[in-house]
Amino acid sequence: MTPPRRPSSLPAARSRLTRPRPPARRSGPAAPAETPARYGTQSFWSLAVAFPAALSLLRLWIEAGGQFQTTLLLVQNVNPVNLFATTFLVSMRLVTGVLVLAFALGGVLSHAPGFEQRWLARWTSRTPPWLLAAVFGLALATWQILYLPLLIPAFVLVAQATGEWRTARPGNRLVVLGALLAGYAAVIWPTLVDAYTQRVPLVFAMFAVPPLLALGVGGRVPRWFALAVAVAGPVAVVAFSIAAAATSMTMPVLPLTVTTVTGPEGESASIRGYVVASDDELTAILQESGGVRYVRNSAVVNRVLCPASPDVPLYRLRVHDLHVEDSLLEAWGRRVRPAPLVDATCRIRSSPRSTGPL
Amino acid sequence: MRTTLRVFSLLLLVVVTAVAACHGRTGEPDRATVQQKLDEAGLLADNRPNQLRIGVYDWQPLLGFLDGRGNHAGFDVDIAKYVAANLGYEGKIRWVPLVNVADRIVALQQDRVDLVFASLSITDARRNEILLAGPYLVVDQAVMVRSDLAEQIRTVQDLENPRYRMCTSAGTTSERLLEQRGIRFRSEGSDQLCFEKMRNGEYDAISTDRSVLVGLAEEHRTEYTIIDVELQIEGGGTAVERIGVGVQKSNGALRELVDYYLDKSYRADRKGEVTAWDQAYRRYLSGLGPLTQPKPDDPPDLIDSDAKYPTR
Repeated sequence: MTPPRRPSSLPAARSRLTRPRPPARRSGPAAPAETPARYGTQSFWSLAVAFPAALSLLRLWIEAGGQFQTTLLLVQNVNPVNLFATTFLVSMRLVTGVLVLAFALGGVLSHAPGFEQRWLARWTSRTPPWLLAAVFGLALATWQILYLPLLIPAFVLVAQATGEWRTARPGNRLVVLGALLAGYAAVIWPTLVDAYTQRVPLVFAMFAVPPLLALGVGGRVPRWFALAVAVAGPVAVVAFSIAAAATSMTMPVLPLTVTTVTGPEGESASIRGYVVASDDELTAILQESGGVRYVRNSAVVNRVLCPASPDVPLYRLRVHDLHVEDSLLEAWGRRVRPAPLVDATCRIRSSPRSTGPL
Repeated sequence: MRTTLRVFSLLLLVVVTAVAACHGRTGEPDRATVQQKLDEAGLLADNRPNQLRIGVYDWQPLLGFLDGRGNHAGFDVDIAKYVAANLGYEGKIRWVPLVNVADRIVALQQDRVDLVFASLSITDARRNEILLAGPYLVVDQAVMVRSDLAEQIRTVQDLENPRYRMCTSAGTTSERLLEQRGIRFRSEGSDQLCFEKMRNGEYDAISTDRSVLVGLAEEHRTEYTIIDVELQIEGGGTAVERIGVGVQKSNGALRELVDYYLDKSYRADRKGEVTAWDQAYRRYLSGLGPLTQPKPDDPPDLIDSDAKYPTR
């Protein structure tokens, strides 16, 4: 019995099956088209949502002064949505700072032969451009204007990790960078002159040096330098993240107020703290110096909203009337409500620690 | 070469970033802050009474008087309330009535008051005894006569006639001007005393700040008239009284704070905002005609939490 003949078409069919597929078009150097976007999106939302959510809970504990009972009182009365929203707001500046740092370091490594697969480089390369643009946009809105020039060299470093920037003609890249710097110079020139006149070298350097560095930072770096970045970069990112988290956690959860109460004999006292809860008879105030104090509503004669910390700027420099120590968002807000009204009652040092008859 | 430049640029970027991050946490403003001045002035001291003692007149119509309910009112009082509120003493003012002109200085020297808002004109002689903030009002000197004499007394020369008995407060600018002009007069302890004696028929005319006379004339419209004469200083020019705030000689920080808030009001006024000064002026002194808040002489360069707000 002769074995059945192999169909003549089989080898051809197998060869079709085993033939390698043509390479898919890549947005990054080492991954298919779909994965990087999904990966980048997941990473971003992990950071943008989970980070503030985790911090929110820790913030309550710290806000309570480490007291478990006070923490329970706060958890009971603080609206989680509001808490999450405020945490998101206050940490946005720091989160974007961490992300821009990580992306910039990744941009350096992505151009160093042998270091393209380091996680910072991979992460930067695989993050879709729209997400990078979103991070830079948020940084632009939330960073102090004084630090915004740092975004220009960071932009160059991050851009060189993207396929779009790499495949662009060198002439086009120069045009983009040139237009960016020309626009920047036009906006910033009066402030540079003021900084020079007022003898403020740090601000002058902050506005003048980073844009110039943007012309020199792009491109391939030597191996020894890439190795140093590969080792120190992740450490810097983690350290910055920890510092950012620590800063976020010490931000207040509730609005700071000074409540003026009077006693039965007409004596008055001011309690500086956060109103945690209020019912028909009593108001619970978490004092700034620590401890919860309940006061009778009938004893409360006045309450004023206070700034969380003395918001006194270091410099008297502005960029077209926007103070350099404001973010663009803050400066915008100040233009919408241009009359500051900080009650002088807020200037009191602190409320008495001991509980009086009030 | 290009690689070296690239590495140098990256290292410099790291340095700039690090310096910026560290400086932002440790820097200090290049000027004194309002909070520091409050501390220096002793207003934040733990053992300090929770009240600001302000010396005012309680008899001067329109400027410092007691209203129908026995509360202190008037232009000086409103300006005092504005300053006190900004110092953190809104509703925590202890009003100290001042007896006469000299009492304004003595009360400060004896530490009976922290501030004086009582038509206190800024003079070099007073600067030797107390500190003066302001001015918050600039008015000229005027003369008020009994209405039945208004037709007879029309010029400064008429006032030189010895038959007219003139009164003014001792130690005031008016006293000095009358001396310079050779006009006979008698000095009393206060404008109030002058006015009381004028009502008793002892005097025919009073010379003092126009703002004071407008108040007195307002209360007795038909009996007294402010005549249209200009008391000029030696060498020409209208004599003006620059009304300021008295502060204890030892408390320079408080003087700076008062000047800071008067200047803040002045700047807001220049920007066209409605200020406490405007409201007080319209309420009490509109009879003086249109006036704007004067710029304080020596406003300090302090910094506060409103420093980031738009300037235009």
